[in-house]
Amino acid sequence: MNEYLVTALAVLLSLAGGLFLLLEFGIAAVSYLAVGFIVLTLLVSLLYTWWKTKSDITVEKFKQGILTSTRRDILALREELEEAGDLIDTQPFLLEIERIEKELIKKGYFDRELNLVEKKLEKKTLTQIEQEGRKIEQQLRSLEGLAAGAYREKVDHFLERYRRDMELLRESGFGIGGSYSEFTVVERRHAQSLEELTGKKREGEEIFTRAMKKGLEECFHLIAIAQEQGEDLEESLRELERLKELSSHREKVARLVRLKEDVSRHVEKPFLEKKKEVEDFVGRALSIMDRDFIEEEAESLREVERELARVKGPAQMIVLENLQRKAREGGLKAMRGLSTRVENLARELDREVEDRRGAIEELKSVEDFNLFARKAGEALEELVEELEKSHIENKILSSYSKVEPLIDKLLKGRKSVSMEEVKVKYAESFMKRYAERHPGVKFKAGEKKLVRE
Amino acid sequence: MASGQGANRIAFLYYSRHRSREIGDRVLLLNTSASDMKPDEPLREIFQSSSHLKELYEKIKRRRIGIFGRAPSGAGNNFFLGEKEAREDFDTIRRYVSALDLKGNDILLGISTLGGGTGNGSLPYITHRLRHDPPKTVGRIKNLISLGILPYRFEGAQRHFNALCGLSRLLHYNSHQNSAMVVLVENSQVESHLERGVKVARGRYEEINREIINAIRMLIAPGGEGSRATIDISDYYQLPGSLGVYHFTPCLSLNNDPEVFGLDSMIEAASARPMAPMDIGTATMAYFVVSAPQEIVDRGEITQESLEEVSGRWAKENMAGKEGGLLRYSSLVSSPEAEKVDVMLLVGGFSLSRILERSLPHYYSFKESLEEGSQLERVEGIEHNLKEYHERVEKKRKALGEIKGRLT
Repeated sequence: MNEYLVTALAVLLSLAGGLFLLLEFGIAAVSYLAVGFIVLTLLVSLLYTWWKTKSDITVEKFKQGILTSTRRDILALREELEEAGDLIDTQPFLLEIERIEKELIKKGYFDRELNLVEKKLEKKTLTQIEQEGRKIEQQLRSLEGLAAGAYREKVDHFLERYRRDMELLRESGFGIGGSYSEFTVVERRHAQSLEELTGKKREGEEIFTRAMKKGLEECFHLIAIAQEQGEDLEESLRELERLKELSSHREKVARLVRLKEDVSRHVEKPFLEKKKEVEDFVGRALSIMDRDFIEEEAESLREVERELARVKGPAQMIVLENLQRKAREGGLKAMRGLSTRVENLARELDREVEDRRGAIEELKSVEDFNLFARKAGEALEELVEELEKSHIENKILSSYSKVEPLIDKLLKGRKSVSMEEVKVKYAESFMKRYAERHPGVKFKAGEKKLVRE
Repeated sequence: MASGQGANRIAFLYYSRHRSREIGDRVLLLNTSASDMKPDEPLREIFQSSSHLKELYEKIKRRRIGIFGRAPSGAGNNFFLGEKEAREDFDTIRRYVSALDLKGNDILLGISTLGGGTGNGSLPYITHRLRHDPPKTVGRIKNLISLGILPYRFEGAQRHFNALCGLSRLLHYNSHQNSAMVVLVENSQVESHLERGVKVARGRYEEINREIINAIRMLIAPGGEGSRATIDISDYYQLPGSLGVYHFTPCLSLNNDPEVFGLDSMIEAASARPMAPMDIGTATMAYFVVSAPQEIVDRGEITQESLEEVSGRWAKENMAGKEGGLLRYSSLVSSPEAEKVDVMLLVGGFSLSRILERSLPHYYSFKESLEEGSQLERVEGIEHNLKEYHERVEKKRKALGEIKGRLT
């Protein structure tokens, strides 16, 4: 601040001197030149002072930045090493980190809590700090590389064991296909650094835990189904509780698989009943929709039919329950699709549009599957029948202009034309329409003939 | 090659909305009046609908629009003038035809309305020059087919006079057969087949032109992809040419629902929609072109064999002579994109009486107004040629019963 004050005073004094010279001697031009020179010099000095101060601040901040980043790297590596400690011996690496920290504290850059000591930094040049930062960065990188090398093999082995356990669960009919695929993606992912490796292991563990939880829930659900059938499965329930507490995942998986096999034997009857229910519904719905003009609407149920064929035994009871849910959704989807088409065709044919959406949505709340299947089957039958009728009417409407001249030609010079002579599909409908549009011609329904009156 | 304003409009419509892989951008528009070539007027909506179309129009204008004539200001419905301009400035026309870069087996389809002056005057002359007296730089173009559009029935006497003269000159020029094949279309006839709603929605002229483009598309379909039995272009004109009867008209039935129509009823439906006035019972030649969805062909619901069988039966029942005409070809084309079946019967050698009876009274009334002189002498010659051709057609048809067996 003193420099600013001095500079300002100097400017004022120069100006006062210049003014005095001007008033006293009257040599205006020379005086103004002199004053201008002085002002310019002072301005340059001011700018120089400002820049100098500013760059000093920047250098200090830069030094702090380097050391802050160094501290962050040390802490991050320490954290990663601590996490990796469950698979490898990280003690030598942690001791080395401790040595680095102590050295920095000794040099006065940090206090014992590893906080920056700013005053000490002012005495060090930027180059010194930069060299220090680079040296520590290299040491940390070497440490991290060594630790990652030792850790990688262990992580691969660790994840492989988890994968085998998940395969065992999957093969035993647990519905963990999605988790298994997710796990294999993580397992195959390339990881180079210690940070990436710890992340990969962590994700694998999380997925496995989720799959395990799902397996336990499935088993519990199976027990509940069997108990509904009057089976006494108290011991199985207790075993399930014991499994939850187990820490060894290998043992947990092996015992869970055994428990499921045991429980599945008790749900064979409800499994077969449920499978029949779903198969009957899907089979009936698909046979109702087995028409040339229905394709897309039946797709979801066709998918359920394919999946049903892969469900082999009571161990897949949960998969079957999911399929039952999908069959419901597929049925509703088909009804919505068919209903939209029926409405669109009714509009094209200038007919009153009947809103069926409400009735379809009501079916969603029917909890009993057999009741749902019966009502949905009836609704599908009605919709397909309606669609077929409108579909044909629409075809007749769009093709009539081409059929009319054919009938004209057949009727030329004749009194009647039979249905066999009109060589198009839906000939009767075309003939009826022809009779409606030609006042002198009647359609005789009994003889199926067009007759000129 | 579209000469004159009416044909130019068809070419513009083709270029902007219905371009086919086979023709691509090899379109040539000829006219004597630059103002006639402003598609912005009749086709304003089309060309202003997108920047792409505007760009396209500029491209056509540069490479594909030829203004010919010494004093290009239109022929004013005078075909003598249209022909004179083409003769005197044939070098300009030659340059544009060269730019089409025609290969040996390519077909050149000349289009003109027959009621006007420019196209009707120039197309028969250009056809004659290119087929019989070609400039060295172009070479002889044998495969030159003409599509002549007959005027509306309600149009004035001069237009019907022009039409018969144009028809005669397309068929015969300077004591030669002129076009290798003449395809005839009548505006009123095509319009009568259009559904009322369609006419109103899209405009009658555009819809008629669209039908003509469809006929061209079907005409070239057997030479394209998906063809089961190829009709070469020479098949279209060689035998008719040697018989001395080579006029045809397309009968179109497009978008047939294969669930409603069988092949026989589709052919029947097409035969009920000839694009020029004619009695199909007088026809002596027919080409059956069927374009069907790929899956229907793959399922064997329509096959080349079934087409041959059905078309043969239909020809016997409906065409002249006990054997169902003199000449018959059929070609099935399958298309993966199609959902419906398109059918075209290209019917030929039919009696021209129905066309003549509509135009002759107008022709004679206009002819009376011509003064004695070279023009009238020329008209007499043209009239004589048409009479001779008509008589030949009738003779062939009547003699058909005596020809044993079919020639194909």
